[in-house]
Amino acid sequence: MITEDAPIVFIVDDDASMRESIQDLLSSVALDSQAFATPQEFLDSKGTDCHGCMILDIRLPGISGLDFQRELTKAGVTLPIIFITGHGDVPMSVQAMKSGAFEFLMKPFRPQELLDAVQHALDGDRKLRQKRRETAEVRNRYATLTAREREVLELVVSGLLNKQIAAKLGTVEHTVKIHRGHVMEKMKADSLPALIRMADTLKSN
Amino acid sequence: MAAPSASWSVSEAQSFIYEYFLAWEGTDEDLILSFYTDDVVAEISGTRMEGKEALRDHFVRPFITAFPGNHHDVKNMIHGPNVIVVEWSFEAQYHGTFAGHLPAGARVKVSGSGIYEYDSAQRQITAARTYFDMATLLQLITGSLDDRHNVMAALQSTERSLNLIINTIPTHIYVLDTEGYVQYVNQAVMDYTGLSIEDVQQEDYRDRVIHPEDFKRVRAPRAAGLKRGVPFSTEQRVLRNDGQYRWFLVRYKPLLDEQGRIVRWYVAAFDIEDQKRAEWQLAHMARVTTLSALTASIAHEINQPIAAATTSAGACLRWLNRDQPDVQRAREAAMRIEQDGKRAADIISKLRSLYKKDLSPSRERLSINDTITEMLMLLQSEANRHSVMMRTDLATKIPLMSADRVQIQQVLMNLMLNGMEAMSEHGGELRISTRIEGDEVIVSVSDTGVGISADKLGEIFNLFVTTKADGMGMGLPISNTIIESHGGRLWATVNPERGATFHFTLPTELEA
Repeated sequence: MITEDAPIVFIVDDDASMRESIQDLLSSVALDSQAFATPQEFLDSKGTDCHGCMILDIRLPGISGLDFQRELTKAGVTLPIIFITGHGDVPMSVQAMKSGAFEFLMKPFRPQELLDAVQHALDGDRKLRQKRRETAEVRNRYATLTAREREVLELVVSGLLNKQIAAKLGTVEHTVKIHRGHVMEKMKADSLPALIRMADTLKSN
Repeated sequence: MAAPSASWSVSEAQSFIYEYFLAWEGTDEDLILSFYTDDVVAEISGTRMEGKEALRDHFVRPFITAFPGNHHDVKNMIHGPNVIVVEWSFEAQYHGTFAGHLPAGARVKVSGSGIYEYDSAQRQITAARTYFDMATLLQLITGSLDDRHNVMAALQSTERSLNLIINTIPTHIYVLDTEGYVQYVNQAVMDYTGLSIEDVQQEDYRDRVIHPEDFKRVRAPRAAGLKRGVPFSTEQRVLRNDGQYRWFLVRYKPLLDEQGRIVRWYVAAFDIEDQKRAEWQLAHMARVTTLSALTASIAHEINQPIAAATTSAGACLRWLNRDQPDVQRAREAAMRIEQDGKRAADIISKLRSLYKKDLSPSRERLSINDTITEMLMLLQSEANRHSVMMRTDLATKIPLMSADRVQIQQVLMNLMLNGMEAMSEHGGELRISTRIEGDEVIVSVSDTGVGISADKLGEIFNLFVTTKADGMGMGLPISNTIIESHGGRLWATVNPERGATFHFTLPTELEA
């Protein structure tokens, strides 16, 4: 399994003292971070979508935290977002959670609360990336199958016996067995259940 | 007498109408033209009136000329938003040939009533209707009983007119017997409730149409009012034929005989639902906007440095809790905490200078009696809601004082509302008095309500002390601060009979 790079926590808050204190808090538990005063600064600084999470103040001058979240999604950035706010309106928090925020904390929060949220967010991000990688891998393997092999794959995972598959495709059982062998090899599946899981992954993406 | 013109208050409109009756000879012609009683006029004078000129020439002028030098008496009967109903009467010696039946020189007493609608925005009377009392009309138009046919016709048409009017005006009108049971209602009531006159005369009528909470609330004050025999009012929700409740202002007026005994009650109820809603929204908005917006801003301002300080404290502890504590980082974190603490303190001292400015009064020359009178008008509907009668006992020669009008109004409003709330279960009387003692004016606001126990008399001026379920306990402490900043004192006493009285003093010397 490929391990992730060390995670980075991205902080976007217009209050300088807030940025400094959060960064220091994260350092004290050996987490790297980068801080920005405005969402624009964040967008300008990077292009890479690396492993990490974001701490975002919901009310920033210029663009609202929620709108920024939408912008990020559009730009393909999938970092989990932890909203923090000094205003504490309930409707806003509900809205934030509905539009996919990972967590919503009100200032002043207990430092441990923030660290726990960051930890959960990073775990979540790690799992998400893992899944994405696996899906990409499966797709790549599928691309190497011939048209006939794809047909066989379809029928194998639908539960038909080789004999039935042969009948359906108008060929003999022996040929089916050979195709099946190639499919298992190319897809790197070590069992039928494993192959079925891969097929599901392909279907849902 | 001035024609209706610029800004009129209700009392000015009333004065105008009184004057109008009292000065028939000198009255402006245009105003007379607004006077009409179609059918009655036709029957009496034997001609059909076409247009107001005809009315004036054939009826009104002759009528007035027929009774020169008369003595008028006008009593206000009931009034509500934009409507005044008056009772009038006059005694005079009959002079002319008005109706042709009365012997010259006969002494006549004529009485009747009038309904006046006025547009308070335009400050004008928009419609005036006057009615002759049937008995006096009879006397007026016949000297002999031979003309019975004409008399009956005239009576019937008067009755028709009266009925027509009583049943077309939108005001709900009830007539009650001395026990308070309904004898008669006008069409407006039947249309609104969807009930017939028989339904209305049932004993449980009021249970059915009045909102249960209000029925409970007004029961005692209404019973007390009916017994006392003086005009009073209540506010209650009445059920409409579609199942909706609407707020009504209900005014009760007794009809008394010569011995002063109650004969019956006349009741007029006015739909104030829209007004109530607007009032409530306004008050709510005012309360909510000021307080919550203010506290939200304050909270947010202070929140930032506190949140930063807490986070730095978390970092500081973690630097120190490591196997190899990083003292330098911990120190830096602690310095940040110090800075954030200072930031919070700066915000508080900014707030302090803000409210000090607000509290420092803008002084003007104030007449305390006038201010109290203003408050009476402002709080009239609140008084009705609590079934409270307001009375004043104001000393006449009170000099002007140097005071902040808005702040003094705030204090009066606070004390008066407190007094009303103390009496809301049974109604009662709120008495406001002023008197001079030495170089101070003493203002007293007295109620006949639940009272205050002697040991709590000092405590109630402390912040956040309240007996009300939804109270915040800020009114009295704030009032205290205001009075003290004017150089006066605020204190409370227990009344010997029932209730409590709040007194405050204000110095009478004008500041140079």
